[in-house]
Amino acid sequence: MDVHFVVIGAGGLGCPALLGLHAAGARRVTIIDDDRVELSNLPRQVLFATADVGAAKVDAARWSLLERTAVGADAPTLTTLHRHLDPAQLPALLDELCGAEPCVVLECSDSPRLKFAVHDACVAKGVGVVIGGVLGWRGQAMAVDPRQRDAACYRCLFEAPPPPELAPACATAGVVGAVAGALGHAVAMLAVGLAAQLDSQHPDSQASPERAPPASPAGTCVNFDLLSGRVRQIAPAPRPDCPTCRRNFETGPT
Amino acid sequence: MATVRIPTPLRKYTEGKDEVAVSGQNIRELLDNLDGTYAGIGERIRDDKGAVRRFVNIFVADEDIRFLDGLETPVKDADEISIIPAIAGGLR
Ligand SMILES: [Zn+2]
Repeated sequence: MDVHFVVIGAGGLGCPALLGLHAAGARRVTIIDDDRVELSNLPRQVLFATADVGAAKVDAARWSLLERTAVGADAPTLTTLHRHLDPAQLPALLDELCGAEPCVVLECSDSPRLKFAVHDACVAKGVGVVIGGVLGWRGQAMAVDPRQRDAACYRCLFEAPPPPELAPACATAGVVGAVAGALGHAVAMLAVGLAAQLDSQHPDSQASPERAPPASPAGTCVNFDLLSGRVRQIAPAPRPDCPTCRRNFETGPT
Repeated sequence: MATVRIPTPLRKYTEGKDEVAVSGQNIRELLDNLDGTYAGIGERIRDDKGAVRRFVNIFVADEDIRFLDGLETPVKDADEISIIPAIAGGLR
């Protein structure tokens, strides 16, 4: 699959998402995170081992994925960026990473504000993005493809991030580690779904022209409540007054 | 009475219940009655002007009320109402 995946956050969501991409055969992945491995991360951040404590998460994740590449197989190209992401830098970063090739971004950070900022920047640049979030026994993942005008964006569904006083931080509310694992894999699979769509549209695609393109997950938000086992899919229509994708429709990707 | 599914972050207001039965002709009445029974839950769903908060969605069956009649969307007895907030948390 010749799509470049950009994973923002290599923690509780990013680790399983990276494993999911690796298992799906992703050939080119960029991992972005500014954090270092701590002992307390190990139970749910399954790419890391005791020997990684103190190392940059991006480096430890990269080594761990490369170790999981079959002997004799072509190793995937894994690029790392050990840095803090400032929303103001996102447009330039997306130009740099996604300007020249088909690209899908996986938002796996721990910050609601950054999730919305990454989403908005991706929509403005016409880049597909999957947003993942977890809290307690619940997780939510939404796939967004700004080139599909009949599919809703994240802002069509949620107009703004919750204010800090109403969004219990995971540090205080807690997250069931296995929920992050399930959700991270769901984020990876939605990203692979978006990528399959991109791949089929690529001029060098080997997909036969008479075959219909694969069904896209764009506009779908999957909600897991893993305590009750309930999974709910929401696929809202695009909201006509959504400022994020309306702007995109008027101006096209910048 | 309609069944209202309560998301995890709001269950502390409903004695931990994940669904509660609430009466009301429309969503506005239903939310008023919900807050009447479970004090404090209302302000987590609506702002001080009474509008549904921007990170919260309300679905009647599988329809987003913003595409129906908003707070005036009628509610039938057998309806299932879901309150779905954005889950934007993560883990370092
Ligand atoms: Zn939108």
